[in-house]
Amino acid sequence: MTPISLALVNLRSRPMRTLATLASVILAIGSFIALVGLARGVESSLLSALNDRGTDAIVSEAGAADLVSSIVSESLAERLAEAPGVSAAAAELSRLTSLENGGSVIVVAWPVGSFPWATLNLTAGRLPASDTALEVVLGTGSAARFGVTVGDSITVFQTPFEVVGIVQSDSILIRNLSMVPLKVAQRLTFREGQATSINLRLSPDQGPSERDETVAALRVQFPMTSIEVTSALVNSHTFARIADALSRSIAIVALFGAVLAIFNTMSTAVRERRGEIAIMSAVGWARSRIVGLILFEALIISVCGGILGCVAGIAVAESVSRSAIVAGIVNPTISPLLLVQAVSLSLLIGLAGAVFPALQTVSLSPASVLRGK
Amino acid sequence: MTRAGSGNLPAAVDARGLVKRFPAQQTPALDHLDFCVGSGEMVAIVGPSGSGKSTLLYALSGLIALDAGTVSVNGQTPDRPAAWTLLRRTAIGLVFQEDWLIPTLTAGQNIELPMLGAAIDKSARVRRVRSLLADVNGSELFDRRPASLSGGERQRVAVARGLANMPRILLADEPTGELDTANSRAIIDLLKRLRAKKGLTVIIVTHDLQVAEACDRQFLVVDGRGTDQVIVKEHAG
Repeated sequence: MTPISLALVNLRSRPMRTLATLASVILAIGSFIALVGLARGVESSLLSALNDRGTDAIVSEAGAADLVSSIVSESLAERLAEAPGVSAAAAELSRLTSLENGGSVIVVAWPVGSFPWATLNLTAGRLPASDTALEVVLGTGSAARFGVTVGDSITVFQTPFEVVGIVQSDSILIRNLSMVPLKVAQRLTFREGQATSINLRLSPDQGPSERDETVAALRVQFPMTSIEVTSALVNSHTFARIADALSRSIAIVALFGAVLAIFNTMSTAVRERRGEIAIMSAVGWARSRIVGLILFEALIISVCGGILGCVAGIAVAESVSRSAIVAGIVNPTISPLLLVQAVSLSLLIGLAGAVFPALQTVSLSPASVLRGK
Repeated sequence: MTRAGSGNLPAAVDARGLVKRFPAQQTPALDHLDFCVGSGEMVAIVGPSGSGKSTLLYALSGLIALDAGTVSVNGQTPDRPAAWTLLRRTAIGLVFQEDWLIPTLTAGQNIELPMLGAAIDKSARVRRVRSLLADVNGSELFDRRPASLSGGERQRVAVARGLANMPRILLADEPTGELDTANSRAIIDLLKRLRAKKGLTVIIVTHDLQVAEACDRQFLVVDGRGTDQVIVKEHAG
């Protein structure tokens, strides 16, 4: 027998309680992994989509909650394109629209011939021929979801569009976009002359500090707008922030629940094992060793729960990301660092839940327990 | 006030002026009590229920804090709980009326338990457990759980556990209190044999006349709640 096997014997001797506590830790860590992973997925999807289309900065309506609800004038793009340090500007109209099957799709529209179109990696077909053509280019993910290919027709904005091209991308967001000419989208959504944002491509010879200076100068020149470089935009994006805040809030509740579960388990264990603890003290176990045993038992549960919770969290996040409502929008981003953080959190859960019950053992009077008083 | 003597033997336990008050009791459980046991002695502490004899035993093992007085064990006078813990790990073994065996552990593991608190490697622990079980005529009990043992077997395992860290002093609180006559006799014979074999000092709290008579001498604790009267009497064995 070793202290480790003694702790395992103690846990095995109350299997239902141990399993219930383990389940609560798995739930907490699984929630943490899934929610934070999905929230980070939102951020990374957005960032990779912007990077893939070669956008260095985004211009949107000052004070708008997010890019979809922002409204700016399409003509702003021409003025921005002439500003120093800007090599190209393209107006964009973005809409999240429902599909007939209950799912949703993001539709983006750019002027035909503008730089976002040029960055697309066509695997089949071609780009829209004119600003007025009812033609759509789909990402490979969208094409697969709709079950269509070049030459087929799909309905967007209650209007049939011909699929003229399929594009591949490393960005899950682009793979799942539907892209149409700007003028067509403006007409069908009653937003003639309007855009939700302007994509800016800055002069390629600029270094990071020069780009910051360019953006700062643009902000002065266009005071009624919000201008952000793409990385900063992702961090301040309302949707991403809400997802992040929600995920963290729910994860904190789940983590707190796990702390209470460990606390309850170890408190009950200490009460039930008063005799064992008293006899350990009577035979010369130091209080610190007894406290250590209680903490160790909690740590076994929390570490096992942490590891299993990581597995469960990954599975849940992957499952959620494939559901119809968010498919193609969010790809969970679960890094090794996040897994390490989760297991570390589970260790803290174990310690936080067990430290008070463990210290309760110090307050026990072995003599009164052993004498049955 | 009288003080128990131990003849010419060097003192294994020397308690002086012990005072212990419990919050719920108006009179002290121990009232300036002196008690001395020579090395290798086997002494019975006897007295009526509530006289303070078990309190005395727990005081001698450091399991209760005294209000006044000192206890020296093998010449050491521990003054902190940690020092008492160390003494219980090295010099004092304890046996209780209830065996207090941990039900989820085997008999062997229960005996091994005190050794986990000491720096003894695993193979040495197992060897010692088997040796102790042989000493208490319980070699066959090694892998058995307490629930499958008889009362006498359980108490023999508890005695073996009390000796796990090879103490020089064994304190037993009513070790035969829950046993029938035959098992009581067996436990006392066992304690006498172990005392002879290992040179133990044995102090037994008992209300069993048979047990008391088997000891070298009896130490009577009567109504420890006196004031300035003699409250402890020593009887020849």
